Amino acid sequence: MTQHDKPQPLLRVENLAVSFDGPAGRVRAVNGVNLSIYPGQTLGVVGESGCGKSVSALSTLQLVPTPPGRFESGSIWWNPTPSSETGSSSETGSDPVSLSQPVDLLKYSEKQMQKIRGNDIAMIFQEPMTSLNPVYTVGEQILEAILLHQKVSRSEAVDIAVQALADVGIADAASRLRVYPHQMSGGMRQRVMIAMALACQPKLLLADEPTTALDVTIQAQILELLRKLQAERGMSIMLITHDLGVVAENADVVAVMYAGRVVEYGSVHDVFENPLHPYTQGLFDSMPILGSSKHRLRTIEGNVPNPADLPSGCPFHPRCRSFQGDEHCTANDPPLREITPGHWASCWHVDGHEQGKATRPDVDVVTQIHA
Amino acid sequence: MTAVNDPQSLPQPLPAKRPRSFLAGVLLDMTGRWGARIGLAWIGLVAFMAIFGPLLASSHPILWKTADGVSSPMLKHLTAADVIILAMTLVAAILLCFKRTHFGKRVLIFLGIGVVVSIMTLILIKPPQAIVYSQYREALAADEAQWAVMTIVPYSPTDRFRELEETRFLSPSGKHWMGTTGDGEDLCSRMIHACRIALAVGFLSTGIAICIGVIIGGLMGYFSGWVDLLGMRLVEVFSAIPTIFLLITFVAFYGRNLYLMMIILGLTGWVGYAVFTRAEFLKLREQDFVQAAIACGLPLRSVLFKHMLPNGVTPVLVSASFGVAGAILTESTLSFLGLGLVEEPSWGQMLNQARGQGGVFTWWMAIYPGFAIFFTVFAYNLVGEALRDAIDPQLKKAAQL
Amino acid sequence: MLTYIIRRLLLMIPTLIGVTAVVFFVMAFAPGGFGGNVLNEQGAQTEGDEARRIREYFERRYGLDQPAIVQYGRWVNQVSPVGFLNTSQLTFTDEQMQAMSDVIAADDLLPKLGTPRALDDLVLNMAKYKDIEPTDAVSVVRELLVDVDAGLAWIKQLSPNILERDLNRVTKAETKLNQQRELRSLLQSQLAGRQRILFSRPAIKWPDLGQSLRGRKVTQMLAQAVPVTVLLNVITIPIIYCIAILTGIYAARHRGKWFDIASGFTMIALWSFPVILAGVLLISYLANKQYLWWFPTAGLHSLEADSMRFLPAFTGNGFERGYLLDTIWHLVLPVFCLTYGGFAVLSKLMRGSVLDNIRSDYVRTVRAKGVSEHDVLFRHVFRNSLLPLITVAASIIPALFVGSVIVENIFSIPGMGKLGVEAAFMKDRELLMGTTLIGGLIGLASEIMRDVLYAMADPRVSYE
Repeated sequence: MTQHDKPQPLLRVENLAVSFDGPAGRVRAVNGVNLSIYPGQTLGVVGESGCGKSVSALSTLQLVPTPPGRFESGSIWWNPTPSSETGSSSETGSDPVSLSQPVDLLKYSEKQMQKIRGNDIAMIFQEPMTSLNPVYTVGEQILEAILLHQKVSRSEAVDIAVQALADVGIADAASRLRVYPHQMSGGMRQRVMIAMALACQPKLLLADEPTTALDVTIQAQILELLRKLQAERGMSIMLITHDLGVVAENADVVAVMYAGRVVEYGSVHDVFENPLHPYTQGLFDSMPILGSSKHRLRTIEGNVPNPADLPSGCPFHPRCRSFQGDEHCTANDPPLREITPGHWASCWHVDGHEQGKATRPDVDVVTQIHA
Repeated sequence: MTAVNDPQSLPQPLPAKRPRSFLAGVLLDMTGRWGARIGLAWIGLVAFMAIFGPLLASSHPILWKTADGVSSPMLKHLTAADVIILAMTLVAAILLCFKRTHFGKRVLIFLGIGVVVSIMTLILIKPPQAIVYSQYREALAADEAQWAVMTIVPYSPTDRFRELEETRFLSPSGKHWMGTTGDGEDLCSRMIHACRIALAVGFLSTGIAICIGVIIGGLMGYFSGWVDLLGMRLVEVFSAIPTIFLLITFVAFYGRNLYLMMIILGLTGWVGYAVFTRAEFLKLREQDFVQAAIACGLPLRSVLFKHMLPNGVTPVLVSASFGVAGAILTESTLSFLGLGLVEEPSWGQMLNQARGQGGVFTWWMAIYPGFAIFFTVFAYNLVGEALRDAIDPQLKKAAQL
Repeated sequence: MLTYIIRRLLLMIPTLIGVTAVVFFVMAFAPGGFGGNVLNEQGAQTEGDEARRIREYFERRYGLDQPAIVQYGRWVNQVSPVGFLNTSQLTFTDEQMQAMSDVIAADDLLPKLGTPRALDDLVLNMAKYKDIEPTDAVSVVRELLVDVDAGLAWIKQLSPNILERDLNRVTKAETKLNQQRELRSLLQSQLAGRQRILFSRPAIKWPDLGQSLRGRKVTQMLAQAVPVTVLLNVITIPIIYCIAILTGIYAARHRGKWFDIASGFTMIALWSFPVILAGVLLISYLANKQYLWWFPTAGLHSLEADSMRFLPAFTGNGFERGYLLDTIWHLVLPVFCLTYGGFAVLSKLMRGSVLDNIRSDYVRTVRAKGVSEHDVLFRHVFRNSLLPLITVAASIIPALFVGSVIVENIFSIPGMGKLGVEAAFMKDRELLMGTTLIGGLIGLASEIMRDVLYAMADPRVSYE
């Protein structure tokens, strides 16, 4: 690949903060998140439940219900330039020379967002059992997305839908269009969800724990399918999960989230080989490793903090095993710093790169690998 | 080991408050809602009128001085029912002050005293049969009585002012605050005395319906199998009967009797509670604590009433509140259709008299009783609505724990 | 689906039997008894003898001298389309009648005993009661009339409760012919109205709801009354649903805003507002000479409605409102009374249902597809939110039925509700049973309809 331009990230989340008004007062679910996803890249977002993974993804599509939700600050830059390679035929109309300006999705109106949703950015969800409308057939639901975003006739749309179902490995796709969601298994429904999401050839797929509710064997199939489709279409995926194994298998870049912020960010290789943040280390220690029976699994002490009542300073310090009562940790929230090139962490205890700059995480792994 | 892992430094749970039962929590939450407060206030007012009706509206003077000396005709004319109600209110008020005693014990004491008081009053209290209301007015007019202290509304509900010229359909005035009825009775007095019927009908009929419904529904839910099958057929039959016709039939064939009407309203209204309780018991039966109770070899009575009933009865509360409202509506409807009581005052019956012969409409006969029905029903529905809202989050909270 | 409906229809039968049995036995065990009001009224005016005759006639006609369970069995047999024939349902051919008249005319004894017409009746009743050929009945009657003792014995067997006094009238008569005359009239009165179920003759027949105390056929009376009630409800239900759905959606969309709170409060108030009060106020203020006489006071049509043309028109006499407009004019107040309380519950239900659906997972998916808010609401949420409304339809219809009982009585509309209340007042057993049956039928039918509608609206439900 020629290094004709430094590729622009497809999506860049900057300082995103989202809060919710609840009975216990205003709660910050997402607190200054920074992420970026490059074309063709898979970003794995890992964290315990309630750490703000899903809210970050939902914010990208402005699907956070407001109220009670509220965007407090930040921006989400969307830069749909054609991918560095040939680009799909639909993109030929746009000017390939000029680097189109990124747009802030958070500033988009509801009308503008509707054009983005399902078309440029699609999303699949955790609960395939309840995520499809029970009173419409699978076909009607896929067609709705196609007819909404593409200027095609109904019969053409049906062809696209059949193709989409076939692409996700559903046999006898044409007859499956007439089937209602309740007549399908969970794995099949998730395939339908993926087909629906990909029917309009989105550039970015937000997959919010797409396999959590499924059986283990089906999980593997679905992830395999996602990988295959990504390779075919060169789309980007934001894969939200709490399963480190899933991340290791699928992601290029990992963002570890804790209490509404990113605590570690880097390529899969870096993070898995050399986890910097004590939380990430804790996560790895609590995971069984095949073939090693040396030590008992270690758990991370304590509980996920209540987002309405976060500890002062570093939100992880009460559970942190490196914490030794230093004032630094209880007083100041550590910024995300680049510790080694392309590997960020937010912890006062990570040494060696004291001068590590607090920059925005930005790992163009695909380019690095290809280069 | 770092300090963090020291169990001492882990946040301790807050010192536990006195544990509050699910029901108490619901009631507390409910009374915090303003809709429920309005409703409860109105019900309280009606209850006050119902209890103290004879002391508020009576043609008998509370005290008067005649040649025989000072006496109280009003007390002399209290019926056995009046005495029982007044006495039991007093007992209840006293018992409420003993907060230390267990609630169940207090209820038992209350019921025990109730039985004793009822028997004693039924034996001892014999109010005069023939009542001549005009004697007081005549005595006062003829200066036979030196003075008399009257009640706030100085007319009995059945005082027809026989000695006066024409008191029928008088519009509201300073003398008769709400006007008079077609029989010449004071409407205000009748309104006050009708409170008792409205309350009694609501509570007793709903009570009967709940008893039948909870027992049948509980048995159905607990045993399932053929008991359930049989019960469901019964439920189906009773829900298919056009209740209003059955009620009308009952009243028409068995005569106009207040107690009968309550029983009938109860006998026809149990279906909803039975279905509710059945569903709840079916759910409860599968739960571990019930299985544990059965496994411990507790007798059926104990499993059903001690372990399952308290957990399954909360949703019934909501429908009970709506049920009371419905019973009051039905009673007034029956009275309106002319199937209610004849002599005793009832709001529905007064409303019925608003349209006299020849289509002459007397507005006070419609407005006062009609709105009394409306406000009472509204009050119960508000309470029911608040209860439902209160139970909802409570259920969610309970599910999380 | 069809098998399901058929099964449900068959299951209706035991339920209907249960429903009618409850009402029947409530009446059967009542102290006053059946038809008490009529008897008392007439009994008060007439001498004891006459009252007793009427009572006996009713007893024979409705089989009241039999145990309640037998009476109920008779009623069920009479109503059931498949059952045994009744003696009153037997008919004679013209030839048989002619043959019988010939036999009576040829007989030397029979014409002496009275008019041939009365004898015809007696022989006909005998033929029906004993289920024998009319010509054979002549010989039976003749036998009984010739031998007075045999005749009296037969009468005693037929009605064990017959008074000594009546029998004495026969024995005390002076001449033999007079004795036979008395015997004939006694036989005639004892046989008249007596029905017997002919177990030998099972048949498929038209259901017969019997005869009301007022003398008319119950079926006829219901055939006039039921359409009125149905009309009232058919107009009301769509109005209720439309208002409920609209306000429900609006309140849900503006959850927590003033409309939501105000409508919630107003709904409970409307729901609590007694129909009797609303009816009385409306009829007294808007349909009363004293105040505003905008609406008619009573009934479903004006007196002259039958002579009106159907549609409104301008004729030489000015504006003529026509039959349709006249009916609508009469229906405004009753329908209003039925409507205002009904939509409160439904609207609250719709609001809750819309809110539940808006928060659901599938709506998030739909939004993620880029569907506009309007389509989310009206294409996806709307259809799912209707499901609970269909569920309650089955309980709304009986509730409306209760409402129409009240409304019909207030506005004097000759529907089922008014008929039922009148029947209860009159203690008219057959009429009340008929009304109950139809009421129960409507309730059960609406349940089946609900299940079918539900299966149509929700693909997850199927009755295979």
